[in-house]
Amino acid sequence: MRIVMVAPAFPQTSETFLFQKAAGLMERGHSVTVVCQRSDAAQWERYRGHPAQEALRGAVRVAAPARPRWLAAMHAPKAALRAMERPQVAARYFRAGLRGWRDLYLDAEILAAKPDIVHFEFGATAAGRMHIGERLGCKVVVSFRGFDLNFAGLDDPHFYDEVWAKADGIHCLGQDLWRRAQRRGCPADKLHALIPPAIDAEFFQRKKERIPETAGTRERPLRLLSVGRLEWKKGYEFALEAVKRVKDAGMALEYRIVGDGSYYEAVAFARHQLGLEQEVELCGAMDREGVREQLEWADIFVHAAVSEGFCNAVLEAQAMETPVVCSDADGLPENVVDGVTGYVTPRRRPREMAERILALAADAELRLAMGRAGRERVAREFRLEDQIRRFEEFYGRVAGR
Amino acid sequence: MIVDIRWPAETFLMRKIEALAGCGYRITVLTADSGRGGPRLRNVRVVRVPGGLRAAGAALLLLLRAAIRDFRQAIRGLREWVGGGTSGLRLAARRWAVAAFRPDVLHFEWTLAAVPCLALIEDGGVPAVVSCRGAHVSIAPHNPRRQQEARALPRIFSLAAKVHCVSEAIADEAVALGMARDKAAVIRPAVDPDRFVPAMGDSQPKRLGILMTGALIWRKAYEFALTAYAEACKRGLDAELTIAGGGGKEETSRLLYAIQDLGLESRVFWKGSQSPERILEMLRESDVFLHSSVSEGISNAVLEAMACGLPVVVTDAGGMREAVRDGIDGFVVPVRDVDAMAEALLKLARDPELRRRMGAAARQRVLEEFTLERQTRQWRGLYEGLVQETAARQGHGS
Repeated sequence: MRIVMVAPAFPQTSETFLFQKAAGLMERGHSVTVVCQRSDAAQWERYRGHPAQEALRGAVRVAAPARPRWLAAMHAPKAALRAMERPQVAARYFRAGLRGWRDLYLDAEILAAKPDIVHFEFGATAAGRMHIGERLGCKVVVSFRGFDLNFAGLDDPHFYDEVWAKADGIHCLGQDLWRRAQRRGCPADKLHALIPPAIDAEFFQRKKERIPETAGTRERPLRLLSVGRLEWKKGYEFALEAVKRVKDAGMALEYRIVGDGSYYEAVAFARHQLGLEQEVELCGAMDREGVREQLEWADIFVHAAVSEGFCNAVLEAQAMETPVVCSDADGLPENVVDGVTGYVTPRRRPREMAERILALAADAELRLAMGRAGRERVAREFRLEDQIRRFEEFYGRVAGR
Repeated sequence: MIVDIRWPAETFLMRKIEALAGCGYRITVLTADSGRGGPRLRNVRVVRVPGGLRAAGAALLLLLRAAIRDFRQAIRGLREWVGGGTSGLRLAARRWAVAAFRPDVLHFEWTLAAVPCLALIEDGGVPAVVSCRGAHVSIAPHNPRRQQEARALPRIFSLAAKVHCVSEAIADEAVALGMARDKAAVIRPAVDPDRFVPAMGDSQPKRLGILMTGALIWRKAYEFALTAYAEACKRGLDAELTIAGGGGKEETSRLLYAIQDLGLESRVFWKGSQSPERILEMLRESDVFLHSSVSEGISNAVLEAMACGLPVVVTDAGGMREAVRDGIDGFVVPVRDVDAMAEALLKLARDPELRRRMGAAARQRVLEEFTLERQTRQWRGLYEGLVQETAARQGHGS
């Protein structure tokens, strides 16, 4: 099958799943093209040594820019050349008038790849481009991963109307997002697939075996960890409040926050205001290896998000046998099994979160058991090979319609 | 001379400038904003020192004027330019402006605006006032990535002739950051009680209206307010919440998402940014004012609401406690304490008499302590005191 994946930027370390998916599909013999707006040399560096790096580099096409206008004018001839590879298809665009010319300019790279399936990896980027199916004579799949349903186009009730009407298949990361899609107008009988993300469980594997250790004393403080961009969605202010309550309960602790972002100052201020400067370390962003080491270190993984598609960081924590205390935002209850691989608490409620952290902190055996259960579940249900196979099967269903 | 503010300036600064100009002060405003916007006011001169290439042109004009009046300062500025490149030019342009217009007092309305001008404060021969209004002393010093600015604070405080603090709480924070207590001059914000007047009489009975105003920025913590409001609704609150304030993309989606996620679409109304006139109308149509900041100097928005006779629920951030007396003008709840905030809203919602009493007390409080007139008197006291001190010192010198 010829598959085109459409994403704003590729590759992105925060979106490793796209890289893995493209590599996996290629490995299984499909022709994959990734069409994006940006492809950063520095980002490629981080995938150096990955077996699929070379092949993928060749499969990436950077689409012509929509803005600024003068730049668009410079790219127009190149786009025109690409479009002329399929004159009959281009003619369909011309018939749509001026708007069609513009669309053709933007779609030129997709058109030239002669796809059977075009997959918009983020719902928000699909809005306004649903003509692609008819004009290229291919099937269109749209993914919803969280923010595209929670924020994108909230002020416009018809933002996704065209997507619901014309997409051939909808992919959501989980049950919760599928429900949200329906609330925003997606018909319940739309062909869809719920395919959760997958992680590299080989890489995220403990090197040192966990031992049941008493934690929370001055000699051996409780080790808490969060990984994720410093954005309001991640709810760090609530996590810090919960940690403050844990500290006030007399627990000696260290809390490391790995990640960076536009709410750095807000997080740093909350840390100060809650009197946690001694306990909380803002570590900044880390690469995969760094995250793995932190997970090796931590006793409990804390995640207080108010909005979260599914969350790979939480999956990685479980793969590393780290019990998780997280909020119930969006896909998290499907990610963590409450009471088995960790605890799920109501979002924006630091008190409940603190209670669960304390319960886990007091019981080293429980931490161990939940950690193991997490590893087992991730290794069983969130395997990369399974994910690729499920996408393959979904594409087959969409194409066969 | 007021150094490095936007022009036209924020509403509260405009009010201060108008009031002082009205008393016969001649004010020079030094601004980096280019263009011609802003009102023309009697006794107010606006000098533009834009950044980038245009800076050189504006600076050279200032240099000429400075050279006529004070050759030594002109040369000193030239040396700074040659030695310091762009940032040197920034400093030199301000030095020349001081030499050219010879103000009696320099005022840095934003604490960290004084950082590039430290040398000028030190040897410009003009006493400088530096304002501490909130974030620059409450938030920036706790950001590990802004330690360079934080390290400049003690020096700013020691060079300034006076440090203006908008509240006692902010003065305490400045002291913790290295300010000598006797440098502090606490002048709280103020409103015009003749403009912000309570609505007369009772309108038709309607659903209770809660109002929040203020820019959508993280330290205003709207998400906490919405969580508290949702909690109060769960406990039986029957009221609408109106929010007036604009902001960036992130905070806007944060607000919209929280409204939707908490299931409040049918009773929370976000109006975006509104004109001061419209804000006044909204205040007069509301019953309770809510303010949820995690960090604040003293909020002008809250003072405006109090002047309009609204009972207020505010968080105990910065100097808010100096404006609102807990249990008298409204309720002061701990920051980030969603349950306490919900409880306070419920108390006010259930008791019209309490609302009336607290609203009246709030209005009275503003009339006694937070009028523009009183504030202008305090400013004059501060500035004229400094001028006398300087004159006395020069008298001794000669």
